[in-house]
Amino acid sequence: MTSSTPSITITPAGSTAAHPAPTISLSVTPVPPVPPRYKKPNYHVLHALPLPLTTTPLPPLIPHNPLSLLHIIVAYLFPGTNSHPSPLHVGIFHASTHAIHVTSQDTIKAFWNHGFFGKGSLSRSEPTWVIRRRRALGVIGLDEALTSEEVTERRRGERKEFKRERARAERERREKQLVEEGKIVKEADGDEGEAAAVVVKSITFAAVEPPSSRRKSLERPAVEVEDLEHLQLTLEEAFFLAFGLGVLEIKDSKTDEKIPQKDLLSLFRSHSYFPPHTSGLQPDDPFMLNYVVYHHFRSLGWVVKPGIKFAVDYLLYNRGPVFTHAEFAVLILPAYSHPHWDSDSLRKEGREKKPWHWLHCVNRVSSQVKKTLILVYVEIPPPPAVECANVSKILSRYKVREVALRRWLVSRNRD
Amino acid sequence: MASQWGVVEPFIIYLVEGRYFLYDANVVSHVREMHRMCGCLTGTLPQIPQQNVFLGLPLELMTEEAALLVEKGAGYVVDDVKSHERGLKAMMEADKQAFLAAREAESVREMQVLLKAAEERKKAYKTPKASSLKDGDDGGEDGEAEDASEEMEEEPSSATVFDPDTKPKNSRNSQDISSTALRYYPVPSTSMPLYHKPLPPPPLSSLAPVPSKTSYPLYKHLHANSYFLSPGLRFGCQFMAYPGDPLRFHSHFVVTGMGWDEEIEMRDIVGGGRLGTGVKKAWMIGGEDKDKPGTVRTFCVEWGGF
Repeated sequence: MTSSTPSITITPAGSTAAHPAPTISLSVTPVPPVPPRYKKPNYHVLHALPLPLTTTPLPPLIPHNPLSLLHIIVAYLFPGTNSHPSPLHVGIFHASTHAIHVTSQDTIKAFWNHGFFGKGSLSRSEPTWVIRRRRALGVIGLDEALTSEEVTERRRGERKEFKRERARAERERREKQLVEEGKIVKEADGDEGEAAAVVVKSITFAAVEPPSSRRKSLERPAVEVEDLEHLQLTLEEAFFLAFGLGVLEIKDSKTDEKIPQKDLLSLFRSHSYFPPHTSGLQPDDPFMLNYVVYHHFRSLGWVVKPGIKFAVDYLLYNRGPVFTHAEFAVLILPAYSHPHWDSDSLRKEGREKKPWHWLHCVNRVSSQVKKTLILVYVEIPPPPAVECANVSKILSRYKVREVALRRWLVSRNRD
Repeated sequence: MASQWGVVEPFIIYLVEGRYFLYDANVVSHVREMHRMCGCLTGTLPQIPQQNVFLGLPLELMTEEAALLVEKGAGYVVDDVKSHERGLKAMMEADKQAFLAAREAESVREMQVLLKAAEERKKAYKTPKASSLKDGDDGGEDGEAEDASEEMEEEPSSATVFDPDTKPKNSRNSQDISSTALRYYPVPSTSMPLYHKPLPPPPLSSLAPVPSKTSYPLYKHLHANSYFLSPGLRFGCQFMAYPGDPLRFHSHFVVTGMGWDEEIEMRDIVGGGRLGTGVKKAWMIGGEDKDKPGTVRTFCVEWGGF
């Protein structure tokens, strides 16, 4: 807004043929040009890597050039770049939050941009607190580097405004029609004077700043905002990064020492209960169930995010949350079909069986948000005779089955 | 106590295959008006059998509804199949004959009424004709004999076989056919008068499917607070709670019963909140205090993100 004086716009309602335009308008503000839509960053470039690993393709094999084979052998045996970062990314395990905190900016960027791991502790998803804070302090402009929270907020505001405007137009149209049909008499008649006929439609006051603050806003404050946000990884995400990919090193928050990988699984399993169990880990620990499913879908190339807000266990994104909405909602159900569990009525009756109305509830909620519900049955193996430390061996005993479920209505699903 | 529907309490709630049914339309109306229970119509309409949007009798009661009716002493449960068999076996030959005779008499009476109506229609159709023609036709004879049509039927038909005039014979023939065709035996909607004559002693506390311990106290609590409750399975809950008759009101709550110390997953709270708020209702959970039976506490959850 360029004009510094308060401006009042008074627009006459109805036709101006009978009542000439009034002359009370002090200064008419020009219609502000439609603000250019904020251009998004190029997500295809930003999130090109699906995982926080760097891979280099082998040189091409040219059949009539035997030297190309040599190239391939050399590139295979002595890769130029390491696929894993060195030193490894570091996360800190906090028993109080049952999460792994990542504070290094490089690690946060690597984990978020390449695979969408974790969540900002002060943000809805991507750690953007510092951008919003800097905007609030005036360090960056109003339309600079919009975060997804702000984009959503703006879009909701626009929609609200649009709906209000539409309702107003509808009301006016109805009133006009009623007047034309003679069903209601317009309150302001012509003989009452012209001033009365002028209906003040909208008055817009431009934002007024005191001179001192205006001067200040011209040169931007040079305060540097300290980033107080960290990235939170769930136990499953952290274990996938540490065990599945091997790019994360996890330290304990109390001792600040590295937790060896062989202790990681039992630590996370015991912390998947609340309060944490110290002994007696079962094959159907919440962590085991979740991790088996998480690993299953991650290894098939899906971006897996927690789905608590849609009352499911996981949401499956095709490429990532910045590209599309999640298409599938995953619900984890333990299956105790192994004969070992036959006599265990607590598990057979208590955990395996769910009431019908519960399923209808979950299914309705996920179809409300246009997601296909996938029931993932995890076959629980019997407890091992000897506790083995090999994680791959433990995981290989689990089996996963998927069932897609959709509400189907005769009248609505005709096409 | 008899209501305007002529229903005397306790009435029979029929139990078939673990489900409770009411067959009598009067009982259905009575239950809806006096006990605020709507149940669920489950029968196909005989006129339009190829649809399931509108259903008719019998009315299926929820287990909780049946349990509460029995508890109040308004009804008692009768196993339909067993009592049917027992009634058939216990029925004397004399009872059977009496019933058949009564049914026959009723059928004859109805037939006479219909015949009379048909004759009257015929007469009304013929009168202007007869008055205009006046040629001494057999029609006049028929008119005289209309009251005695019943006796004429009993007469042996041999008397008319040699009748040279074919016209009256034809008409009589058609009358014979119509008189048998008009005979019909109404099928009662309940088998009560025949088989359930010797009523078993009420109140039988033999509820075959007992309502669940988590949902029944909550049902009773809401019912006592003058809510109408209908089954909510397809809406993802146990009951839908209406503040009045469901024909007049939208439901306010989607209700699920819980045990007092039952653990609820966070995920299910979110789901319930979304379920209710998505359709502008509130998700209600509640349960009975296990230390103080009869005390029910309820909680509503709404999703704030909408």
